[in-house]
Amino acid sequence: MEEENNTEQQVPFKQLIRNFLIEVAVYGVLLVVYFFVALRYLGDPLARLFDSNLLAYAVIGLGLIVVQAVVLESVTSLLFDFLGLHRLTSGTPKH
Amino acid sequence: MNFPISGVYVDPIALVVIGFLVGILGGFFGVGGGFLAAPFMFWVGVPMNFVVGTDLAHMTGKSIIAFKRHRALGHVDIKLGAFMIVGTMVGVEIGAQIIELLEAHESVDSVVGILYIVILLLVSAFTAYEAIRSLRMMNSEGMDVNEVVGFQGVAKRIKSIRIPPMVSFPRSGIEEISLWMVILVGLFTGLLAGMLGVGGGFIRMPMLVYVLGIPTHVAVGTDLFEIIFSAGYGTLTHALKGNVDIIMALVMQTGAAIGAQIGAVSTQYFSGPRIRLFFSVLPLFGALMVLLRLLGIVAV
Repeated sequence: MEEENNTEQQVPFKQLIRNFLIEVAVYGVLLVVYFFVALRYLGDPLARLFDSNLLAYAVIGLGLIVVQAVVLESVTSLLFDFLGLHRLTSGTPKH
Repeated sequence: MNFPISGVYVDPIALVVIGFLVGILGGFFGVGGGFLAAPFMFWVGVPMNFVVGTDLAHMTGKSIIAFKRHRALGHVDIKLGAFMIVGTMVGVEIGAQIIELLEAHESVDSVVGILYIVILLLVSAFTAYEAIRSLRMMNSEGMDVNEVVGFQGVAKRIKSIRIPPMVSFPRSGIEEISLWMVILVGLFTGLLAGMLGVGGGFIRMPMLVYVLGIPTHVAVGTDLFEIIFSAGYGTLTHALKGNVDIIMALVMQTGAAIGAQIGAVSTQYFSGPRIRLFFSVLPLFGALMVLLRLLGIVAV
């Protein structure tokens, strides 16, 4: 219980939730833009590659997954840090 | 949204939500979460032949995200993970070969399914028992929250086996252990994963804790490191068979990214025994899904 209180002292819970909701909202806007711009233009070329060359499709597909993971990790980490959610990572309160 | 590769319309929001939920599980427990994602993907309209491959693709990306966060928190033993991958890959191939051999018998699905259910129930019961015991030890004996494990007998015996080469894993707190034991654990989990057709996260995480004696947080992070390679390998093989819709996986990954971050960060707020106690519920879901599949109620 004492440890839980420590956590609350680090970052007030309400502020944490508010910042998290801001992150979700900002992230949501980025996602919509991403869906309309990137995925829209990626779909057809990848479908053609899928029909014509599965080996190239498999390699490029895995590459895309890895690249997107790295980019998304950077974006979400940046948002976490920018909105103060990074303070979650300081200290190790455990219960 | 139209997905031209699989040729279906699927609500992208549903895929993002599935990714988000599975991302939290993956980040927190170090599991792939295929047992949850696959039925939901099928339910929202993803064609059966694309479910497993696409899920593996999304799992690869999600594990990279959760791995990076766990690594920043110091929860990953890359050296240990790298050695285990060797055993895991060999184990997966042997398991797949065994299944091919057994397929001559009509009852193979039932036998493997029942075996899987029994293993998962045992893992669940044992993990719950041990975690509760550890929590009691923590409360009554004031033991270190990071060190307490209610069952250390096997790990001590494994560490006492001295078959060279002996290696150390400082990140995991292991001063000396036979490399063969590490590879054997990887082989065993890979064998089960290959035979049972599922990721090994259910089994690998408890094995890392109870057999190799690794702290729970490091076991979660190291398990994710392994999943990157096993799921990545699975993605390639399934993609070559035309069973992966990369666009769908990329959409799911957008939800998983934030879920995985939340799951990974949340691990700091729970002690090892508490994470293991929560984890003990997961294999029950896995067992339930296999039971429903055996009974023909769900298809994946």
